[in-house]
Amino acid sequence: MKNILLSIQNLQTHFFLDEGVVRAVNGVNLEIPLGETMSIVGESGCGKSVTAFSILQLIASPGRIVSGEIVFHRPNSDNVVLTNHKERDKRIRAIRGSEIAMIFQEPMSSLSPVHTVGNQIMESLILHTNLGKTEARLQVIDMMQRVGIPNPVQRFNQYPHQMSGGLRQRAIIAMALICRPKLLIADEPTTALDVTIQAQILQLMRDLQTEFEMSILLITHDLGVVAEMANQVAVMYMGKIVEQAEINELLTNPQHPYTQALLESVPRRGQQPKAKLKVISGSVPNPFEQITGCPFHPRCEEFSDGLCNQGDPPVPFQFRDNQHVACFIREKDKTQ
Amino acid sequence: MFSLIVKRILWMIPTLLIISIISFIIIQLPPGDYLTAYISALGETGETVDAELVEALRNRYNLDEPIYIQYIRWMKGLIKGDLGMSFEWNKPVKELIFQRLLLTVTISIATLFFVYATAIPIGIYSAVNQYSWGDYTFTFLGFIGLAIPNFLFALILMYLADIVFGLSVGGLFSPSYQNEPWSLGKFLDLLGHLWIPVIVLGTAGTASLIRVMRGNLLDELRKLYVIAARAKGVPNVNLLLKYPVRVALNPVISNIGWVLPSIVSGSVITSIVLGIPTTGPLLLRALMNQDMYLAGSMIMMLSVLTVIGTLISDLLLIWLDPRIRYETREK
Repeated sequence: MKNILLSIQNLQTHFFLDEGVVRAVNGVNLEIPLGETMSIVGESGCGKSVTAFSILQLIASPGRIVSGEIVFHRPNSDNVVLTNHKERDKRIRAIRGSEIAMIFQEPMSSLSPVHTVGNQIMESLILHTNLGKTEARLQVIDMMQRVGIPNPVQRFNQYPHQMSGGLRQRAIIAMALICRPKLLIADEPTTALDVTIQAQILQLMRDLQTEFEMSILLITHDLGVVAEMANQVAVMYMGKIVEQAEINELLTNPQHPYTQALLESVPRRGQQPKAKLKVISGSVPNPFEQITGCPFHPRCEEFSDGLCNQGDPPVPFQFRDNQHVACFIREKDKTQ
Repeated sequence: MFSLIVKRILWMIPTLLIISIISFIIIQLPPGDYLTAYISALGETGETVDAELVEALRNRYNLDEPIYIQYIRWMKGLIKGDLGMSFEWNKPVKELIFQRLLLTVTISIATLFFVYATAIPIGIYSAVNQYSWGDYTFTFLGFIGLAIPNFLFALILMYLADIVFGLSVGGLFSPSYQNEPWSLGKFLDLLGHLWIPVIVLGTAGTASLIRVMRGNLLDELRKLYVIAARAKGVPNVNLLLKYPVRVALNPVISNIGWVLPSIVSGSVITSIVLGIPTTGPLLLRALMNQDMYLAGSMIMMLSVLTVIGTLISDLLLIWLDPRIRYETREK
């Protein structure tokens, strides 16, 4: 049994809009092991970012965590049930940025345009420790050096618009890691970067992960990034995890029809040059809709009438040692 | 930074020169001159004017000369600090407008402070509590403030101040202080009278600035860097003031440039209704009588105020927003 750092049980985060209720996260169960990288993949709007925001209690009105429990198993300290604390609670604020940190998708907009980069990196350090300004500044410069920002002393006083996208993303990583968090939530950390910078940033995150012994929750829609980074992968579709497996298992032997379709829609080496990529038929359903049976059945190639469109959605079952699938068909095949 | 300020100040010179030419032309545009207006005014009361006297006056004031010579003559005087004579009052313009200009500046600055001191906090409140009862109330009051004409608002406030609070209203001083020299008592008396024109002149500006502040802040609040700061564990109020409010202030500050002239020009009717001796009523009269040196000098003074207001807002922006600072430096 591995040590678990964070466990999410039956998380439901809904958004109450005038047009109806969006069940962005609708019953997610997830365990993030200590020191490993767990990745959540899925299309836009499947609820992966909302899951991440729910962990830090950053869901703002009209959204609300309706039910479920998120427990932070702090190594060498007591457990904290994050869901017991409101968005503005002191307790949760003390954890944000110090023990659980987050980096965001767009390096341009996640830094304030009117404050220096150094000031913004230093902020968490000043908030969460008793360090004085001079000492904090030295630590920030050290961290900037470590994330690969050249001339950190000069860069400390620069503004975000004076930096390139790659440098800004490095500054954001420095901002997240400055307090040495146990868990780093990375929401599409490389999406806005070009491919060469992407590879550097991923390498950097891996290096720092080993150095700081932290867990990473990696949110992405890029299966290439997942293959490079993750130990465990959870595939989300319409607010639910449809398949969760160890990375190699998932890439070589996907079970859920949605996972299979996702993997086939990515170009591979050795493919015929003009071969058409697979397209998942149909589109993501209207978010207000509640689909009976399996939420994927209207788009599923293996759809079987009477089995997939009946009753409650499927619950993940253990398909193999390290692979859980939520699919009626697989479950039926397995039990027979 | 320093060279930038110097450059901006030097740029004010051509700006003011162009303003002076345009305003001089406009003042001269109506047919006739001060004397024709004077003669027709006398004619209406049944008096006749001696043609020789008119001719003598016309020569004395050089009214027959071409417009550009008159302009050059006026500019030469201005540079030396001589604003010319007012035909109507038969006094030097400087003497006539100095007191009034001082009052106009006082009222304008007081109004500006009032506008910013109320609009910014209310705008922040409305944005943070969007669609709350408070937000709706301020929105409603703001629209009323925008919709009521200033003169009507002035009358209502005067009525209330007089009937409900029993204050002496109208003018800027109580009768007992009217001709006294300056003293603490007189200053307090001024403050007691100042609030009515300040509220009247400031309400429309406040209402529109609340909307600007609210809209900007709402945009900023949704930005990722605000969420990123929250994810760092920054307490709410600190976060609000340090990040989104500071960014949202930018367009509000650049409004100083146009709030100041609108207060100055908007004060004409209000000043007449309230009986305040600002430049407004005098300017109106001077324009109607084609009292050209008086009108021209006042327009110049108000233009200088406006240009200075714009300069102040530019400097504030440079101080507030590093992006502007570096852009100007690179140029």
